[in-house]
Amino acid sequence: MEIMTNDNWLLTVGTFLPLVGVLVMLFIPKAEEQLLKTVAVITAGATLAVGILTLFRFDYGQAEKLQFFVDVTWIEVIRSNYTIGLDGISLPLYFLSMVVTFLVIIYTWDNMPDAGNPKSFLILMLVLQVGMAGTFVAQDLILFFVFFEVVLLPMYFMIGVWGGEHRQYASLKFFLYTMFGSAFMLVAFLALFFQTGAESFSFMHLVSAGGLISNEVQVWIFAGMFLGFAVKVPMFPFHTWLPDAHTQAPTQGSVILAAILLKLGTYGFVRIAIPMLPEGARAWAPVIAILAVIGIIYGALGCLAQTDMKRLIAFSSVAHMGFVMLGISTLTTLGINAALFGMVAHGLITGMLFFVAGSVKHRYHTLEISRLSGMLKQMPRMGWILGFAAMASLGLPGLAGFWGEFPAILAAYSPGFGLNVTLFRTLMVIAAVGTVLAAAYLLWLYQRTAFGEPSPEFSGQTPHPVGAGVNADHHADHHDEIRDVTPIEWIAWTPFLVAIVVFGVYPQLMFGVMDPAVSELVARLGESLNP
Amino acid sequence: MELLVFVAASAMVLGGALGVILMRNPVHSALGLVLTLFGVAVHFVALEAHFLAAVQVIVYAGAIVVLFLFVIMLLGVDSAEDLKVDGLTIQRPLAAIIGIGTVAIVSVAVLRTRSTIAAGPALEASGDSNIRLLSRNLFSDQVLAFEITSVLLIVAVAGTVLLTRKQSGPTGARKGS
Amino acid sequence: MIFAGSQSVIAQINQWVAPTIDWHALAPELVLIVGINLVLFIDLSLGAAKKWAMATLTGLVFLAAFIPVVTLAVIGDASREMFDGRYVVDGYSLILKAIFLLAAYVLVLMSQNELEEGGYYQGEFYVLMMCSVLGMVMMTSARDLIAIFVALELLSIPAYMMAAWRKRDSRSNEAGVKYYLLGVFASAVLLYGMSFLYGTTGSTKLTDIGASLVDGDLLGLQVLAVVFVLGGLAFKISAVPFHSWAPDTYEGAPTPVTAFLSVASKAAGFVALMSIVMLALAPANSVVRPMLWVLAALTMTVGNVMALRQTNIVRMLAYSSVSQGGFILMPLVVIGTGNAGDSVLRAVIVYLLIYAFMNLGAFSIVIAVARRTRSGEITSFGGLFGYAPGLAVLMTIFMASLAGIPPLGGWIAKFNVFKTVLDAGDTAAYVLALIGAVNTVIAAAYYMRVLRQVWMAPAPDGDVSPIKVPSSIQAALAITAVGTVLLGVLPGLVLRFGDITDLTGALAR
Repeated sequence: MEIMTNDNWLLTVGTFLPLVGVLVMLFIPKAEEQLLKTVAVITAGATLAVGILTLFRFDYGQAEKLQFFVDVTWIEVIRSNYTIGLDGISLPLYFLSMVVTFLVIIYTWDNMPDAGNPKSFLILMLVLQVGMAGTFVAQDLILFFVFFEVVLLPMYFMIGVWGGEHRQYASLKFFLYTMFGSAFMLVAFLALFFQTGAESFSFMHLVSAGGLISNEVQVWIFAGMFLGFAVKVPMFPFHTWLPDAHTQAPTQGSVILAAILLKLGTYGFVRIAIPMLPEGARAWAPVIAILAVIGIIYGALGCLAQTDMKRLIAFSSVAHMGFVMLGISTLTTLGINAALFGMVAHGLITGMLFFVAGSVKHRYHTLEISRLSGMLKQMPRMGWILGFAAMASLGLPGLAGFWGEFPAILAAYSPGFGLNVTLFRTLMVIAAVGTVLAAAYLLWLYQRTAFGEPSPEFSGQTPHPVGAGVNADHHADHHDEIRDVTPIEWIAWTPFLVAIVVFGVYPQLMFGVMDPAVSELVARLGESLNP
Repeated sequence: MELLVFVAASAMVLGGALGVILMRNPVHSALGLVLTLFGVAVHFVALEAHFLAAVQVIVYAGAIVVLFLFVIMLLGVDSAEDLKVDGLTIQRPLAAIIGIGTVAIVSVAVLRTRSTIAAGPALEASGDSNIRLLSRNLFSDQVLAFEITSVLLIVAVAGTVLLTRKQSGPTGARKGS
Repeated sequence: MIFAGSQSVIAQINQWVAPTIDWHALAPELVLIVGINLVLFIDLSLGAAKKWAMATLTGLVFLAAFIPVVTLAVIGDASREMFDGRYVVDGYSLILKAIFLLAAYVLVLMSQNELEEGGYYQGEFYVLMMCSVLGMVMMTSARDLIAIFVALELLSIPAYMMAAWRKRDSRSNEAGVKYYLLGVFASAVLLYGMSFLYGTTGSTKLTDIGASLVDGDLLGLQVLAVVFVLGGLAFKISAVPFHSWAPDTYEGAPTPVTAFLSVASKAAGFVALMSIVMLALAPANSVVRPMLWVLAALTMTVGNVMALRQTNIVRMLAYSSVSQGGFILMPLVVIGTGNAGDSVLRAVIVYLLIYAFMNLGAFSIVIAVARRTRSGEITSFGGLFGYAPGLAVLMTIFMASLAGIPPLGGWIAKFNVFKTVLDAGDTAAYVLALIGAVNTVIAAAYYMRVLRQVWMAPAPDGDVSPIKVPSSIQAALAITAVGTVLLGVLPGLVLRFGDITDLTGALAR
């Protein structure tokens, strides 16, 4: 893996800039809510600006190389360095995390969860951003692990303090599942470290040395990492924390969880587990593929059974992450490209869906699908946005979701490195059925919530003209204001909507960035597996 | 002869120890302790450690056990604890099993080791070699540990006074009430 | 007639040489001894209104004892030996002395208000505390069974009394008596084992014992000696199944004393264990390793499972400290495999240091909150975030650190342990690491339960007036919090200690 050390301050600043905002906010009294929000928005905006600068400085002609590379001694005794860098695989996710955090903080301006205390809420969100961005730039296992874990506590509190009715249960479940996975992952990391001669934790070293470990040991180490990453994704048998966490989390938490946190797991597979343990990956690929397809079908069926809109979207996440994992398990350039694209697309689309769900909840104070109807009549713009996101989610060609799913299914037709073709083709067919089910549950959801007459419970209330009341009043007990999309919501959502269309119409924009890096990854796999 | 002394002294030690734990009357227990300590002193004599034997009798049997007796008599002999009350019924059988098991293991270990340890040279019986040996050891290699035990005495005095002194000033059960 | 080593002793009779004493090396101990006497006598002449000065004075003594530790580290030889290698001041012992003195200083800060307001005997309390710390400081340098035993008693006996300090509270009495009886019993077992070691090897010096034991050809008595010595020390570090005293004692004793027992006293037990296992019992690995393996696995698991069921915060911390002890035992299991010597020491010492910071911090919060709520229940922490956000955030830091979440200190401690264990690379080590991994998750559950109360539950009695934290406890919190965070972010600061923890080097002599 070649490196480029141009502009090597960019990533460090981009990753840790939110902490400056946190520091400033710590000294602002709790009561100054507007000031706190302003500082948070400015911080996130500045971080995003650094991210945009990173986009411009990135050399797309050499996207397979690690750019902005930094390698500084950190913990010398355990041979772990502060090693960071960015290539075509991590750039989209790194940038996505900045965009999502910025937009979510803007959304918070008007839609603070009921528990109040924006100071802590925004501080946690900024800390979360540090962890997420750091995970995507880390090029050292220990550094990666630290960032990977840093997101845990803020998310735990975000769900547990600002969440719904069963927030305590959901937050603890989320925490323990993730902790369980990462404990085994850490053991696997250490085993990998010692098996490769205890020289370094840097990705570059481990990628070149990992393939030399004997097959059997690779399979075992892969198993440990699999546990850690699969819980985070989440893959089928480990997914049960997700619906609870998503349902109970505040809107902002759900969006970040769906858009970024789930990607930490899949990113771990692509960046760490597969390139470092090629034989382990080949041995585990069928298992991953089978679990992924089970996840697709199970998630879809789960969606059909849900009565709560947010829970339905959560289960759809399980299904979509199934497609991502199916793409990864094929170990082909096409499959992994599709998976990476799917990660970003799912982040945008499901993030959008959770935003809408949050706003619906904010207005109706319920997400019971049976109680919602006629959204198109009552607040047409919101209804159309929901429809748009649902279409994107079910994989309509021309929108971003399509490019995550279709190539993944296609890749399963001819998996790489002597994987069992019959198995993968069977799985391909089942996964295709999954897309049909996806269409079914999303359209059904849309039909039930958007069409028809507004339910008598909420009818008789005219939609409020847009822009009349920027400052949303919290009328918890009576629904006298069912307003359409507010300006703040437009600001927060437009980038998502635009991105979904742009990437849907011109997917090459992202494939072009990722493909060189993915091709090199698969080529290196080939060197290990087909010598 | 040596064997005879050994058996007799050991019988004293064990008999006394059993007496300490089996006697109902604390005074009798204390007297059992005296027997044990005397037995140990006999062992010391048999090993030609005359100084230690003397110290054993004077300090332990003489001073400490006498103090025990004083305390027991001052507190009143009748306040014997009712041993019939027992929280966990499994404890006693378990204790018996562990005790017997430990004795068995130690015996086996000793019996299997006995033949392989070479007997050490006898001490020079003449004069005060015992005392010299001890004192040289105490005041060269072990001098720090020896001196530090004086701090232990401060601790013992300070602690005893405190724990037995009548409470003055306000106290309260503050924590965890 | 088991007296094999007497030959050399007899030979010394006629060539008496006064032992050379390196006063500089003994300076930390001497400062403490002077301090003990000073406090004892000044306390006699002070009126009740001025007793608070005793805490300040004690704190100053600990800081003063710190000075020679620093000068010893900076000036002169890497290793100073006295009494024929029976008392050694080297990098290993200096770091541990520093840890003990630092912990003791924080403990003084924590005890101050509790004692003042409770009307307890302040002067005497600090005298006993200093005596106990003196024992710990000695323990770090002791390389002889007798010195180790004296140090162990010196640190334990004051602790028995401190546990029973609240004389009118029957639970405090129970705590003291339970601790005393089981502690004395453990000492007897330990001493019994030591006597076997001496009897079969003819020496009380650790390195001599290590040289006399023959690997693979241990006598039955020697095996027994190892078992007894480890068993006796297991009591001190409250390892399962020798832990039964810990929860009752911890709950009954005054909270600062509980902190003292669970941090300083326990750490001293580990120091004794380390010295004995590494120097004297190294050739007996075939006995030591399986025994420690079982102890470590049991201690972690049982401690955790019991902690899950507690509703009282101090009891929970007690069981949590039992389980943390299991983690500290883990690296000792791989002693003697490859070049694990240095990394074992490093893992244990770093863990002890970080554990001292985070556990003392957690106890400081408990003390601060209990001043207001007067309750030891975990539910009494409800709503803390609402009315005392500072304390809540600090509690979060300490709990998360205890759970081992990066980037806090506890993480680096656990990471080191896992790394050391996996370095051994055999199946037993991997199984132990997996047991440890599962246990970190169980532990996270009960630490998070506390945080759940702190952040998510309402205040139990609706009282949301702010908590006044005395300045001494504020200082304690500041020290522990900075330590916990700093060591997590920049672990290089302490991991460097590993370079000078040259204990195994002593074996070569």
